[in-house]
Amino acid sequence: MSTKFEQTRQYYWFAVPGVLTFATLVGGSFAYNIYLSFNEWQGIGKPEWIGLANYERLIQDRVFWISFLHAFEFILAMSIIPTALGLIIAALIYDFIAKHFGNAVSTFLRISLYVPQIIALPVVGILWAWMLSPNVGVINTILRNIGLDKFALNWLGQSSTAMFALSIMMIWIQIGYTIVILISGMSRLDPYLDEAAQLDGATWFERFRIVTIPQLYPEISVVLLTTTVAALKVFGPVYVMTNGGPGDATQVPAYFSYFHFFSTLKVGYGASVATVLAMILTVLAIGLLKFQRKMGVLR
Amino acid sequence: MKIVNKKGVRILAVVIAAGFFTSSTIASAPAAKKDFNVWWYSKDNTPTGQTWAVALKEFKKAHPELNVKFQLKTFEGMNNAGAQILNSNAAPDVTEYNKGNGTAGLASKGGLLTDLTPYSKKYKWNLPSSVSLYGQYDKGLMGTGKLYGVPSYGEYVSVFYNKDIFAKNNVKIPTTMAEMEAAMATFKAAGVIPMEMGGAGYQTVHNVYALAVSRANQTWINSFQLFKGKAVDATTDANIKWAAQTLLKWKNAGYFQPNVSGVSPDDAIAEFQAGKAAMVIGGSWLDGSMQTKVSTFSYGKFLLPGTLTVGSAGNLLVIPSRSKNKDLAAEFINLVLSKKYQNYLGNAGGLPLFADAESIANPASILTSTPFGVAVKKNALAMYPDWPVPGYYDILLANGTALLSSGDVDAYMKATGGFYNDGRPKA
Repeated sequence: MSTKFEQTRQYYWFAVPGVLTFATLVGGSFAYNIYLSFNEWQGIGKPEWIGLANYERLIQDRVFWISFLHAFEFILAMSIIPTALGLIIAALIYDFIAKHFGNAVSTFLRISLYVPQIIALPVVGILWAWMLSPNVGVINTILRNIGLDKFALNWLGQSSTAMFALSIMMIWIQIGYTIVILISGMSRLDPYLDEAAQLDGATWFERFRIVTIPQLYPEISVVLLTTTVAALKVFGPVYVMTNGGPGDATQVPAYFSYFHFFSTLKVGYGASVATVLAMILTVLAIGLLKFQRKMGVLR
Repeated sequence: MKIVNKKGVRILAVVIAAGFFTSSTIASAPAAKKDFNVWWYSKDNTPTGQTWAVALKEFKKAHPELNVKFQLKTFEGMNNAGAQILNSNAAPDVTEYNKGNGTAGLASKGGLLTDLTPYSKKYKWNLPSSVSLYGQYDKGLMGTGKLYGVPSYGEYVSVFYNKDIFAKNNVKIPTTMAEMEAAMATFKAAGVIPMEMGGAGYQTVHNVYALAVSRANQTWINSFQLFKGKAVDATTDANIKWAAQTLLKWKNAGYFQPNVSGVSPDDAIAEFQAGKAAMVIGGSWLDGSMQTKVSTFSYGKFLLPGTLTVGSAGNLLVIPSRSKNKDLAAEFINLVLSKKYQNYLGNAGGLPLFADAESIANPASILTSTPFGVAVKKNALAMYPDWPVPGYYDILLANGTALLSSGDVDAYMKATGGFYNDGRPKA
């Protein structure tokens, strides 16, 4: 009797490219990053071993903790709100617009909502920075023209609103992604369940809540997982919009790490931030995957 | 289900092989010519960028055996990742590089830059110490030591003003800070924006420092920038604190646009160029843009009243240690320093360091070189705020914006001063 390994042995060769790429690009870099985090290094010359000093500093660094707080705020803006809104909009497009206005209209809407995903981030940054500009920006101009001067704020220029303004932009970017995945999920659902519920007199909302959503758990959990990870390691939007400012108002771990890597040239310190971020992300991702398995989503 | 069938694999193999084949032929074809890599980040609408481009053309002509490859970099990119690039195989043969301890100083300390002293002797550059000090580094600190880079132009921060608005309101060029504030009050009363200010960007960094050095002396500069003499405690320093308070005072008096902390420098400068404001504090790198974009009024320049002026010799040309063509790189630097191209730079509206005054006829050049000459003559150049400590620029920027929005001077002093004190070399 041949073992399972013998049966599948021939296929292991197919894993070689992937394993090699992972080991060199991810594994090697990660190990090197951990090594650097125990050193003081300016990016050139010889790294100097300083043990846990970087981590000791990290624990006491107020900005580091603030940056993590912001990362969790970004989970709201990049994961939870876009998923919730995406679910509602996807249902509207799939159940209502496609049925009443035809496929062409629904496809057009789907593509339009996806456009923010394919625009290069620096372009998005310039676009939003201009729209949010306090005196000449289109958002404040509209608000003033409809008499809402009180709400024409200095969006990115003050600590109290910068995070909110960035969050709105992130929701705009992320929503296309959640909608596309959720609509594709809806199209695989069994229409008979929906029809049966309809015959039993369930309203649209009841069918959405009791029939559609539970069947969409696999898609919802994939969307939540990928966007949560993206939120925790968010860098680009902060880099192009605010550089973490004003003050530390929009500082996030990835930007904080980059700042120390490249600007202050405290490479070891930047590496320790990156290491902690990677650890938290790994733990969180494993936790989410376990949770999904428990829900019977991944089979 | 098999994901890829046999035919698919075969096609893939052919594609990959073809890829290798073409890339290797492309790489080997011009091998007869030696690559010579030149980088800078002075944009092509600046006099410096234009002059260097013409000099490079002449250099190319003189060296047909070389495959001269030019790349336009960005200030931010070289400021942030310059050391890492110079330390890699991708390092160019000659490049523009930021002066200061955090950039050129660090790179020289790490052995990434070539000592240019032999070339300086060979070509008889005879740089005056007030120019060469920006390229000299000893253990990474600017001012003395081996020559690692050569500046070829100057730059400074001054006030651009709208002559028409000044005349209409009977305001003369202010010579004291009190006159400056009186002028702004006059403009404010007349319904004109007295001062354009991009509080969301680099102008916060420059303006605070411009105010700070307007009441500082060279002893303070030596201490703050070059770490000579008594150390500056930047969390309590009187000059910096006064500057932060003054900037806030101006903001609260309504001398800037509303929401100044959210205005980008590009927008602020565009508003001045559209004739909407009386003044804007800006660097000489804006000269070219002012010349081409100001059309509805005439503008002038004056130094912010006070003792010192933000400015220095310009960025350096350096030869990375990894350069494989050091002699050729030095030849290019020599070309840029030659009278021919120094005069060219002057006539292009730039601030040459070694030009013949009589050979410069361009009025725009005279407009910008006159205040610069005054500052140089009284030895009043105060360097730039972000030089002393690596990463200081980002801290000054983020907290400068926060200062304008929150009005909290103590928080500004604590954040920026703490970073400076923490980052300065330990005695």
